Amino acid sequence: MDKPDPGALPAPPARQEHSATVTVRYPQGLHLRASRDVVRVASQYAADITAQNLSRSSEQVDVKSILQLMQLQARQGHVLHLQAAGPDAADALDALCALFHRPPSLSSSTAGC
Amino acid sequence: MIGLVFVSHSRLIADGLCQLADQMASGAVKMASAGGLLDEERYTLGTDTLRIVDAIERVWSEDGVLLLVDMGSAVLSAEMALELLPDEKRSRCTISNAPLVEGAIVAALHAGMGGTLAEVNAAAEEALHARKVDRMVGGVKRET
Repeated sequence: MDKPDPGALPAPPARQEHSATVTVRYPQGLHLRASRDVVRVASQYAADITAQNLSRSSEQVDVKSILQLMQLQARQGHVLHLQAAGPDAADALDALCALFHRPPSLSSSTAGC
Repeated sequence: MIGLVFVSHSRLIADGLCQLADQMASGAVKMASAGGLLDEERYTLGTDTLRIVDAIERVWSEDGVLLLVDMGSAVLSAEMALELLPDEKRSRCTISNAPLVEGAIVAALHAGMGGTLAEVNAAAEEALHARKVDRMVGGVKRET
């Protein structure tokens, strides 16, 4: 995970920004149920969290919106850039990275609905 | 937690939506389908005001009920169903402008996360403007 250099500009504590890059591992891509889980995890945090599909040069979308997640059109192997800003941004990205790194068989992706 | 009612001309569509939406809510949300019209003990295409009323009653809670509808008489029947409810229940029911399938998916997810009636409907109605495909060929955006 890329974290801002703490020795650089001192950011206000209430607006921490973090980013991470994850690869979509689901065989069916970022499908409906996988996206449901992403929204549920992201919604537990106050941070603003966006995702961009680097493999498609997509626009940034709100990770807490399943409609916008679908717009990433993320297939297996696509690389997503996650950015979070807010007091719990680091924790939010940790949780999302753990979700994306979980083997697809453990994240109810078999039917790819 | 709010309840959801799916109104479609087709019983199969409404019932199928219950199955799909239930998965998005992981079984946490009460939802009911009111699809099709019962004609001499056989379902045909159409909408039935009384079946919508019954569906609302089955999922009713004080938090309210969001109705997702397809088109035409589904909207009219849903409106008439609300008119048959007592005032205190009618005021806690909303007919969504969201497209039926996308709205049901989004509404189930957000209802399951504890959203209010207004919050869930607002999330569902975002589907009115959500693009599904980017105009791309081989990962490159077309100019047109």
